[in-house]
Amino acid sequence: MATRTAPPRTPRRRTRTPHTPPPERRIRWLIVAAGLFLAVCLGRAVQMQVIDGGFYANRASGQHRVELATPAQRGAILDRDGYRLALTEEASTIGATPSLVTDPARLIAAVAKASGESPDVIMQRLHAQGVSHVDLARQVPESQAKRVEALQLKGLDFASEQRRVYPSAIAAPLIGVTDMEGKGVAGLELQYDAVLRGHDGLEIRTEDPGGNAISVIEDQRMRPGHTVSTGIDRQVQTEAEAIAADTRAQYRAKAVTAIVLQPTTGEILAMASSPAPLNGDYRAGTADQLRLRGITDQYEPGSTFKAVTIGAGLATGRITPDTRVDVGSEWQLYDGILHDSHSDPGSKTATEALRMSSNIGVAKLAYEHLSSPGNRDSVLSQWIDRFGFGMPTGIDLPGEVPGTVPDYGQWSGTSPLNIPIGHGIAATPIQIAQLYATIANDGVQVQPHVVTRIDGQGPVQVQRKRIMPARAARALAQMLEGVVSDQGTGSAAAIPGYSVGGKTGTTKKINADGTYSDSRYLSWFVGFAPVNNPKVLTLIMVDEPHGGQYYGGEVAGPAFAKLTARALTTLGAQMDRPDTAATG
Amino acid sequence: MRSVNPLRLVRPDATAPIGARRELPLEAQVLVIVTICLTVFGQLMVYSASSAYAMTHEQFNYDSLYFIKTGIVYTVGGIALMIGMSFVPAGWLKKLAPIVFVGALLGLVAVRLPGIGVSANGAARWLALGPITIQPSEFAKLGTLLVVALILANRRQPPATLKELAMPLGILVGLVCALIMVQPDLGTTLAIVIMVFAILVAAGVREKVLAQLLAIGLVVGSILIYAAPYRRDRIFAFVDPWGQSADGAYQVVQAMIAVGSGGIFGVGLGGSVQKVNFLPEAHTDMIFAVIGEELGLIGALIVVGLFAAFAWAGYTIAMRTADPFQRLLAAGATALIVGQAIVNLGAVMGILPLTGIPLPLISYGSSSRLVILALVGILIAISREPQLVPRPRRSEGRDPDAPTPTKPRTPRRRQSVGA
Repeated sequence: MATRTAPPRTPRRRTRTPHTPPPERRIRWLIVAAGLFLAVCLGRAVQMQVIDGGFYANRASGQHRVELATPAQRGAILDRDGYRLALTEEASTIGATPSLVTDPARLIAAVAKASGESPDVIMQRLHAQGVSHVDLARQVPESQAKRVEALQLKGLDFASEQRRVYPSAIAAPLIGVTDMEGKGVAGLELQYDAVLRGHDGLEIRTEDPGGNAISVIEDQRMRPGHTVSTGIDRQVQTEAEAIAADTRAQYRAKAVTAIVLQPTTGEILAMASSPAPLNGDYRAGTADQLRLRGITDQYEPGSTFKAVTIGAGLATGRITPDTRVDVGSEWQLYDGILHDSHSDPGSKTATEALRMSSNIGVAKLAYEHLSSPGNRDSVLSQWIDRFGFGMPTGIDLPGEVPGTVPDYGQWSGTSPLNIPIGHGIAATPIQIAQLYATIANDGVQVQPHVVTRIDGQGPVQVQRKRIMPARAARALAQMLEGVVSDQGTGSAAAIPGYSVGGKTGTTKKINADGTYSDSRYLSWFVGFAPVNNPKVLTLIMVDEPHGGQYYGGEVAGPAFAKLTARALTTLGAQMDRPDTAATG
Repeated sequence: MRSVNPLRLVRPDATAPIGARRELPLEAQVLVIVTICLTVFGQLMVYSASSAYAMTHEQFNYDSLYFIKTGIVYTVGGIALMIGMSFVPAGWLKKLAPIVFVGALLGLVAVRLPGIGVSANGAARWLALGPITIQPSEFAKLGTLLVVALILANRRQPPATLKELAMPLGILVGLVCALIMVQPDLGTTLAIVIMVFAILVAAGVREKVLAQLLAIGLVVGSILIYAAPYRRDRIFAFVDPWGQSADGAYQVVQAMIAVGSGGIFGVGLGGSVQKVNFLPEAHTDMIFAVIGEELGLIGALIVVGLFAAFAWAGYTIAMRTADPFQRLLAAGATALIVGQAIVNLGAVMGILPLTGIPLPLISYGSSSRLVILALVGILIAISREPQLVPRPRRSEGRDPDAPTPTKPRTPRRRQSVGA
């Protein structure tokens, strides 16, 4: 080839020759080129693995890592016989992919039937705009969901979840409820959520595209929640709810609250209110129907509070059951005038004053024996605190309020006319129940509580505190037994076969302008039986009874007697006055 | 003297035949060590990358060791071939060149024949001869290398124009490439083109002609890419891998996730998750992705460093060789191996389009491994031939013109200046 170009281009040959480079230089080019390209590769590796390493690591774990949660089985809530008041069962979420649905009419009908919701609601959910998948119905019972699944309707899918059910349909506000995600939001479900909930299992693993596990990175075992036992008695609770409803209907009252507890243990046997949610279904209840009035509402305790005054006197020895007091037709102090509703002027013993619920008698006893003028604190004021008023009882339910007790420093000149007889202060029904339970329990206060035992943690420890000497407590109990006698205001609360100690209370409600109403009352009865070996303590409070009757003894007394009798029978309490049984 | 060599792989022996008489020079020793390192490392990584795949697929009898077992057979055979080739004199290669070339061409035609040809994944690339399958395109690389080096070495001057280049070189290379492209196998074609281009560079073809060749290569390449929809997809996948759903994009994305998630130290040898059915071709074309994931930047450094050492050793052998045929042969062999490595690494890390090239000496592959080890053997043989420039001593290392007693021939530069 060179020969062909050589002759005519002789002059150019000299110029071209240097263009034929020495092989060493050309091969150095190749070395440099290889080095450059490999350096670029290395640079890219540094960029991807060091600089952008996090981005790719996220991408990798995004497609490798799978987190599998195993929801913990929520613990059950049991009554005192071990019957399940609340339990968790398998349920399904029925979902749908609207674009795959071929027979919407049949689908809507089937899902509505299974979930118990209206077809219109289901249809609205199915036709929700702008979503590719919808939940048509949640918490559908497993059996119902299976029935829908068997129809093999196109576009439907089923995801299992847990469903909280309350088979007994009682004590709804007390037991409370969980939300859709199984978290307790009210009542015991809220109070004991941490115990009931357990720990969800979580397995983090890597999977290949086919869903096969490659390795397990983390595996937290699921730990089921603890079962919680309560002192609730199904029969007593059912009766309490029925009596509350009946009493409310009978007196066309605004509300009725009933509490039944064991004074010696502090265990709540029943806590009921009317109005109550329909069929005992919390989820169907309104806010008013779901109130735990026994702990969340405070009222003037009225005459039921006289036990504090007499109890303080007995405990300090300043008053005996026979201490006399001059009860006039009225008692004036500064601009305040006190009257008695069952006026019986004359010299009375403390027992008589309490039996007839004499406002003047009890207030005067307090004024003469329990006040210590000039001191920073009065004996009565100290004992109001000591009995636990003005602070929560510590019952294991959410939302308890402490009540309202004025400091002694804020007492006015007329306070001695009000406070000893339960006016000018406010207390929750559970505080009043606790007061009488303390008297019934020989002066030892036991913290009221619903839950008695947590599975795996043993029995619940409750606070016990001696408030007053046993002798004083027994004396007061005897005086309270007189209240339920024929001469007392609480004769209607008598129970055939049993001795009963208790106290009536009748309070005028306070108007918006701060004056006492003449038409709106609170009627109380709180008491225990048998007096010498108390098994049951019951409190009934009727808020705004109508129809002419409003005295606590008349309105709340019969309800008390009926409910207490039922509780005594249920608990198998021995009659201590069998002689009275026949006459009843 | 040459007493600086740390390793004496072949001891000087005056009575040995001419091929074995010389002690291996440093670059050849580096080449041997690098080759052994890459091969052993490759076997390890093939096992790591393939065990889960082999264990979950019936065609491999669910045997996690399937690829290492077959791989070792070819590696041992390849090493034997390498040692054998290192004793073959250059003259034999000149005679063998046309035979290998024609044989490879016949093989490339034969893959189309029913009964012998084997197709897989839509490509007709393999010949089945009894229990073994052969990939003729791998032997075509060797044949083309020998023939191109021979033709250029036989010329007094390198081709000065495109026309001179085309006859007969262009025709022959074009024929080989065309046969491989119809398989279709863009990757092997690209490897051959890179190799031929490097030989032309080493042969001293003028810069202007080289530039023209590059331009032609880009145009033809673009046409070829746009002619086939799947290649077009791959190019788009390369430009925007995250935004594409095409097959190629999936591979690139999975490979990049693997490499990037390795970080600096990797997830640990054997710990790759990507290799478990996320990453296609994990033990072949995509093995660097598994290396990057399991060994991180350290693994990338090892691979890049070994290929850099390979490039230096191979090109240094080419540079020092007196005979033009052997020089071009050595340069072409080095360019083929290093070029494939670069194209493979670039594709796995998403800076070059995916063309389907295995990582030499590391990826699983029978024919490819045999051919590459044979090439290494040829390079060793060349390193023992008479040298253009004696190995400089440290004191005179920078001066190629310094007079030395063992200089066998006058350097070409001096010759041309004197002409």
